[in-house]
Amino acid sequence: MSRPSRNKPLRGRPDKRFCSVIMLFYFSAFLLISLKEKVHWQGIALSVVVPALIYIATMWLPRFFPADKLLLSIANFLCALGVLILYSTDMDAGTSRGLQQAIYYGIGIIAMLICILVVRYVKNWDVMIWAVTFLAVGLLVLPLAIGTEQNGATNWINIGGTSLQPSEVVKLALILVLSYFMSRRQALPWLLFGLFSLAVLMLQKDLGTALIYYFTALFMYYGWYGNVLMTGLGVVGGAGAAVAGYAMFAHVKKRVAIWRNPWAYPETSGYQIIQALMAIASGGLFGVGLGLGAPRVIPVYFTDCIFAVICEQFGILFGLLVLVMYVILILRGTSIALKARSGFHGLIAMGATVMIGIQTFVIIGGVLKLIPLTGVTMPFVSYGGTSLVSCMGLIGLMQGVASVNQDQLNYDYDISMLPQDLSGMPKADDFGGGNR
Amino acid sequence: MPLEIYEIVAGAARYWFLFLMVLIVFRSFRWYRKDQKQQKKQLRLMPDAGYIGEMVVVQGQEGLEAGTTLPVPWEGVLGYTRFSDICLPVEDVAKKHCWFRYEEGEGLVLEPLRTKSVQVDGILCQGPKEPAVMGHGSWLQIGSIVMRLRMFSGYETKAPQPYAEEAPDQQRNAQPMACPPQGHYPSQEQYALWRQQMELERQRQMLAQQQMAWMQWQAHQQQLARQQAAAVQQCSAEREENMPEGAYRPSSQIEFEHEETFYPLEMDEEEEALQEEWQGEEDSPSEEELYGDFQPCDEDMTDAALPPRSVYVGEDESRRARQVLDKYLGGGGAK
Repeated sequence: MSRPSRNKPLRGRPDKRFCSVIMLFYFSAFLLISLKEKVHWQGIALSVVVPALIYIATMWLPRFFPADKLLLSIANFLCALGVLILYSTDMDAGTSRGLQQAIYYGIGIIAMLICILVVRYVKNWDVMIWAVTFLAVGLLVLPLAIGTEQNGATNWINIGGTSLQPSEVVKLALILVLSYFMSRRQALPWLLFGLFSLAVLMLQKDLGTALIYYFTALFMYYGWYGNVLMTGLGVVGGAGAAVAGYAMFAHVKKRVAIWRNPWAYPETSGYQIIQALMAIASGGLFGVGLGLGAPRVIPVYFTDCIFAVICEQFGILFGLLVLVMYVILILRGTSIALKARSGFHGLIAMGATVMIGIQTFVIIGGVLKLIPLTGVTMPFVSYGGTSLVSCMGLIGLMQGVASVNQDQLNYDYDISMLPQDLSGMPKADDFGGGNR
Repeated sequence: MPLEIYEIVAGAARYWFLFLMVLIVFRSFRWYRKDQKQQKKQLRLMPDAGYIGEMVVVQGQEGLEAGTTLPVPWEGVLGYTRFSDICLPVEDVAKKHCWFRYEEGEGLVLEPLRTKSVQVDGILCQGPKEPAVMGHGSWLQIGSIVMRLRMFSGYETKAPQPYAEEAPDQQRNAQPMACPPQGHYPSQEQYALWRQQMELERQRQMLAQQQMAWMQWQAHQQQLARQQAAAVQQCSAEREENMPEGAYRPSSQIEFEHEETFYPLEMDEEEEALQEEWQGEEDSPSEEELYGDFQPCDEDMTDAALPPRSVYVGEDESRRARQVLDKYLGGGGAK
């Protein structure tokens, strides 16, 4: 007669097996790319460092703080995929985006840790949420004052030689502010904040981010209030705003025209999407091989069109499997949101999940010519420090909610007097792969 | 590695990478499914997980009979639709009547929606500006539905007494409730005190009955003894009259070898102390002081005010139980 321990690991350890396959994948990939033409010691070092980072981030970190290992593994896999693709494409060009991305990945893990601790340990949000709101407002308006224009949008600022995109950081604040005020049923603050954010983004001509903000808020509204009529009105309003944007902004008209027929502008504005589509087609089902092909022909291949590079080098089947990984990540996030016991935590997890899902759909749909291409990044994979740190922050919010769920389940387990001999009974800590 | 050879190796390696990617996706999906199944399994073992207590319907209507229990989650909406977290399918309740959320250390906070109202512990709360706080044993009335909150052990908070005491008279008992019939609603302490007094009264009556039965039995035994002695005396006298002279004459006193002694049922020290306390009526508080306006009512057939009866027990009890398991049953209580 024995009561199973909460801390006893799962039978078979799916986390260890899963992690070992990911490590094997990156070890072999970096080893292969480092042997191209001559021996690249940097690549050989990365073939050891990246799997080691994945192991530490997936297996060690959850010993010091509670985390959902599956979510962490998928995020690590996607981040490392970005490092691999950027390293393989930049080897010949002599740039160091791969290494920079690896550094941003490390910073992203720190951001994730901070977000976990914030969600987990901040109990009184009454004052803190106002600080977050005003900070977010300040960050949003900063590009209007000292911002620089890149690709038609004035959404970047330069601080000490480093470029930052404040709207990426504000994503985290948006989710926190919306979750708090929605869960307290105070409609005015979150409506004002949402409308203000959209207005500022429209002024900055950052329409892709505005689209993500809008639909995230709409999904969160529906998730909390369940009001179909108002949500439908919101969709209609969004469509109206898109039509208004089309009428008001010349570059929106141009993008829609490119989306409808890029072959009409093969040398100018349609060049990027045509090259992306050709790259996907030339890769075929199985790809041309890692480090091969001509990815650098695609304009801004390292951010907007990185999915086309993945499909070219690894094939369409691989690209589909990457999409499946995103789907599993979204399913996991939804599961965390549904398990949350308080509305605030549920909305945080749901908002973060929806934001990653919409961003993925917008960029991959744009590359595949399903929707007009907008200048958003592919979560975790695209080159960009702010984007990667922001995405890891979103994962941190989800992880924080998952850890709170886990604590509550453990509390229920501790105070329950379950029958003692329950062979095969799942342990509370095994949920979310949380073998601590 | 020359580029030509690299191209061949990379061309072959793409199948290897695809295989690994299929394995990664397969394992992640399997892991996800396994966790989902385990969660379902654990929730079957802990059916109360995620709930802080239950509402016991004390006075119901058709479709919501008295005695029905409704589980209360951490947060949600109370209304008459089946999508509501607490569903009350009666006319008096609106589609979305009020929001509720559990605040640790505070209790269950109720916020009626605009134009809706509820009564908590006798105080009328109208609209979202007037949230009400419920603790273990608090009463909730919506229209003619009367319910009582029973919180699970580990989540229970006391009913906020000052809340009821400080309420203005016109707010208190805006609509008198059927049960309890008079006065403001009993507080948790009053209810517990009333139950304690009822228990003492029951014990006192039981002791008096035992004492009465013993005295009757003793009187009966004495009567029997007297009858027996009289019969023996009469018999001895007859024998003595009929005996010839010079014969042996035994003593008229009959001596029993063993005399049985009968005692009343013994009370232990605690019961004696209780009885003494009860008998010292001069020092004990009057009923008015004890109950206030509350009149104990027998109509409440539910056990809403009893301690929680869910699978949960107090944390201390759980810990002690595990210690016992560890010590005497060869482990099993390890955390």
